[in-house]
Amino acid sequence: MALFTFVFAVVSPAFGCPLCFGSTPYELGLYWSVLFLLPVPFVIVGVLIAWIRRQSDGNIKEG
Amino acid sequence: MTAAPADSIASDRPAPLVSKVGMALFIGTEAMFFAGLISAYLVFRVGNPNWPPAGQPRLPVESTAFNTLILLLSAAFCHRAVSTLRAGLARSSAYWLGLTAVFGLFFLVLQGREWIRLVQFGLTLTSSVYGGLFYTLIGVHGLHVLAGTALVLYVLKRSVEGRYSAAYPLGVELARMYWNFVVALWPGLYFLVYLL
Repeated sequence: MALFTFVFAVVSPAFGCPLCFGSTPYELGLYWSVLFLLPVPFVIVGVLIAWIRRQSDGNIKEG
Repeated sequence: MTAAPADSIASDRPAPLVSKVGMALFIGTEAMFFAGLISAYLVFRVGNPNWPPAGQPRLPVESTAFNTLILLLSAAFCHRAVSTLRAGLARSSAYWLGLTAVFGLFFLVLQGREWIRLVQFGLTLTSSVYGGLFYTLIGVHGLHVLAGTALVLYVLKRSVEGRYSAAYPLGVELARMYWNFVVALWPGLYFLVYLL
């Protein structure tokens, strides 16, 4: 019970990315840049896989 | 000395799909590089409500919009170069490649002219974060346009030498892939840096 009280009442909330949850313009800038960068690798790899599949399908049809 | 048989020449040529995948991977790394630069720009752009900062010149929106059109047209010409080569019209393809290179150079000249004016108005690489970000982001893209134009000119030279045909348009297709990437990037950068 004491531990529960300590964790949820005494200790202030800890965020994984404290800067991202701020409200100053600089923190918002970081927030948006993180949000922008997060999906980029997935988009690039996704487009690459889709493109390779399209190319190989075309090769099979031609061949 | 005997001439090499046609089969051995054909086997010396790189395989089209492998070459294209290599170019696609290279473009993927380039896209990641630009994503990093754009991310850095966003940190400062969103982090500064007063943008451009006081005392810094405004960017030439209208003339750069015209320049954007030039670059988009060059991509259409490059596409036409590939389609005419596939149709067996090698000379016509070389013509469209030449036009692509000319429009690429035109874009660079117009950008250079705007940069000279901006430097005269006091916007330099070290004048502010605004200037530093602008010249880094737009300058790196300009370098890519320069590299793309050099690639198109190289492919044009080889095309005039008769190295590409409807059966083997690989070099022109690779140049188009890179050029399309460079052109596709620009409207996004224009919106981000000039309009946002």
